Amino acid sequence: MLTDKDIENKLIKFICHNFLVEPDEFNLEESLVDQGVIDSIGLVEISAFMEKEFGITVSEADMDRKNFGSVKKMVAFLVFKGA
Amino acid sequence: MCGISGILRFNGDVGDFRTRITKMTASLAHRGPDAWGIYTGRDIALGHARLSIVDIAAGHQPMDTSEFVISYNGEVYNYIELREELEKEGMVFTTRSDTEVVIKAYQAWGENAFPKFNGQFALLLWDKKNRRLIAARDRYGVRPLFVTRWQGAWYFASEMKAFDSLPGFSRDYDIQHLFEHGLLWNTIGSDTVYKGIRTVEPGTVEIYVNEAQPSVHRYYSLGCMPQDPPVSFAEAQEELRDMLRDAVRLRLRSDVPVGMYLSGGIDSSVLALLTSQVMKERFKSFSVTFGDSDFDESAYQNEMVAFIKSEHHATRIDYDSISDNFLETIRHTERPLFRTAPVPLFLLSELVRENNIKVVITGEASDEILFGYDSYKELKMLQFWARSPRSAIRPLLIKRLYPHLRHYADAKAYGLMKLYYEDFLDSHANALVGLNIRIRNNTALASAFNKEHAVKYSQDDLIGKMTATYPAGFGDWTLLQQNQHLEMATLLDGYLLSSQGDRMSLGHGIEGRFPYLDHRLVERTFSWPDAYKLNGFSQKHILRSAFRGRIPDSITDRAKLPYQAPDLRAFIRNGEPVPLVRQHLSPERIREYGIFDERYVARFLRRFSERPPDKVGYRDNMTLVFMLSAQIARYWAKNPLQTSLDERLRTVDITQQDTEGDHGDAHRQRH
Repeated sequence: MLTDKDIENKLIKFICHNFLVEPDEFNLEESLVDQGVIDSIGLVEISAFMEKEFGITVSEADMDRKNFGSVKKMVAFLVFKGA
Repeated sequence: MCGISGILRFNGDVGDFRTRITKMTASLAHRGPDAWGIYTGRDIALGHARLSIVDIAAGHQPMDTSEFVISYNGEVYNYIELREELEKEGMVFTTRSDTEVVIKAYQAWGENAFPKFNGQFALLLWDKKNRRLIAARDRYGVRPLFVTRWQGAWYFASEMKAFDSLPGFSRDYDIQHLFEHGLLWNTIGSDTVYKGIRTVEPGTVEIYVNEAQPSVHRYYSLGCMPQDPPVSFAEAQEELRDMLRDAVRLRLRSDVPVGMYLSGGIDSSVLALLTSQVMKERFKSFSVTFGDSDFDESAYQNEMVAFIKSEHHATRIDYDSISDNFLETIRHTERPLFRTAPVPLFLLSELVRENNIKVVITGEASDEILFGYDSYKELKMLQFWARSPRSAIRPLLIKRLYPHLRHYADAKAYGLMKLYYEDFLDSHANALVGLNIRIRNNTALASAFNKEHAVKYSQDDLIGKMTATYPAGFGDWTLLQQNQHLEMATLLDGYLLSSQGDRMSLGHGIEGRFPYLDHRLVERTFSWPDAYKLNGFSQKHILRSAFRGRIPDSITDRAKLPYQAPDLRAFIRNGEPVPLVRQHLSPERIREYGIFDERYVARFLRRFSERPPDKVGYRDNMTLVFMLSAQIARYWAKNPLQTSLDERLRTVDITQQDTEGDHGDAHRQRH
């Protein structure tokens, strides 16, 4: 069973690897789009990563700022989805 | 078209004027391969490399009259009408050239001459009596002019590489400006990406008298010309056809044959039609075609060629053409690129030259003035959605933004796109308007820079700097009008007219002429309602309507395809960077120049071994081209090409011997 911290670490690792940023270059509480870490395609890539890595399904209704508005919110969303 | 250079000494010994101005002129010889000349006085030196187009026999420069000497790059298309006006005021002319008209216009009207000019120019005008140097540029920045202050003198040149010939001068990046260029595709105001080098801003006149900063006077800004109230859409179409025809007519004034660029889009096709109507004889047209079908528009080009019956020539671009010519392209652009699209245009101007044409009509700026860019559509969608942010219906417009992009049309991805754009609901109407999205996407470049530079993006700082440059009345404009100003100040000035325009055509001594930048047309269309230009999501709506049935429907009705060339596909083959990339982004070179972060660059390049170029998005393309071109521009600044002039082409060599009395007079006038 993954802990919240495990999920967060996996997500951060993916973001750093895929979008070429260092962990200290972005804030976990703020929108990744707002911080310039990802663009629109980046959101598609993160969503695909979530489905593949954590075995969940992201539906259209899930795609809002409440779930994707920051790394912390993404972690909470993954936990809620039973990742 | 030409290359100009100048030196204004204000303090002490700046070496041998003749040698210095000759070397500067030599570095600009590609801009004017037909003739060259220099003028030297006690404190002033002017140089000129000439591309002969009007009054070939008598229009040599620098042109010296009793009161003024000029080194002038450009065309004032309405010089015939201005000459008549000046003759009525008693001015006498000795040549047929527009250069003499520019001098006499300034002599008669002073700075009030500039608003009368319809054209594209950069000039250095030495006022002998008042011992002051006037530097000026056209309204939209078609022709370049850079300035630097170095060891007791002001130096001026069409291209910054001319400064590299100055003893001890080093063209070094200002890293924060380089990052700003990365965010906006241009630096703001008179800044350049280099320390201590400024640009004379479009639409301004600068006057230099001594070591003090120049007095700067702006004679033009967007929306400054009073207009009659807007007419009906049907009448506006008629106005557009008339204004464009007249803009083309003026731009066909030349003593040498004029050709044209044909992209296959509506902008150049309309100009091709009008050129064929005004010229009434067969002309040559030129196109870029691509081996990669994702970029190729030759079917549309051929359709238009058959329609106007031009003598057509095309240059075919493949991945090697891009990678093999990128180094030389960057020598000319002198600043980083974000796409490789300038390279094919560099090769196209070579083809034009081989076909004995020196002047081409070209369709830039239609997208700015008639709302052809996606930024206008995005802004309109956000504005509509922001009025009712909770609406589930309004954001559905996102699906119609880019129907050709898969991830926008896909039903599931819609939610993510909505999420992406939702982040701009609060900010889209701030002072950066349509630039918000571009800036946000480009902020990630900060991670690429060497950490020692600590480059930072501050939206507040950027807004502060940008708003200081906004024209009067900006706050009263519609969002789309505001966006037009920003597109013209960033993408048009810093990229399309310079890196992709002036530098690429004059790299082979070809002059581009831009009917869509006739200021009468720009100002009139600016005053029209937004819906004439962007109707629903129909971009350049009035242009399509005005010319539907006059050019093939397949061209008026086709979806807009931005002009692009292969980026990553040209630089990464089978997961491996091509030699040019390996050389200029090598760890040693990255370390030597210190611009970028060594680890970042290495990680960035490694990704392509696991992910083919077709699978990467806009941002990786942009990042690679930006880093590679920034490194190469630095390489050229450190290793300037040694150039020389052909003595047989020297047509002007004037040395003005000032007398002591003159010095005394001048001294008194200055103080």
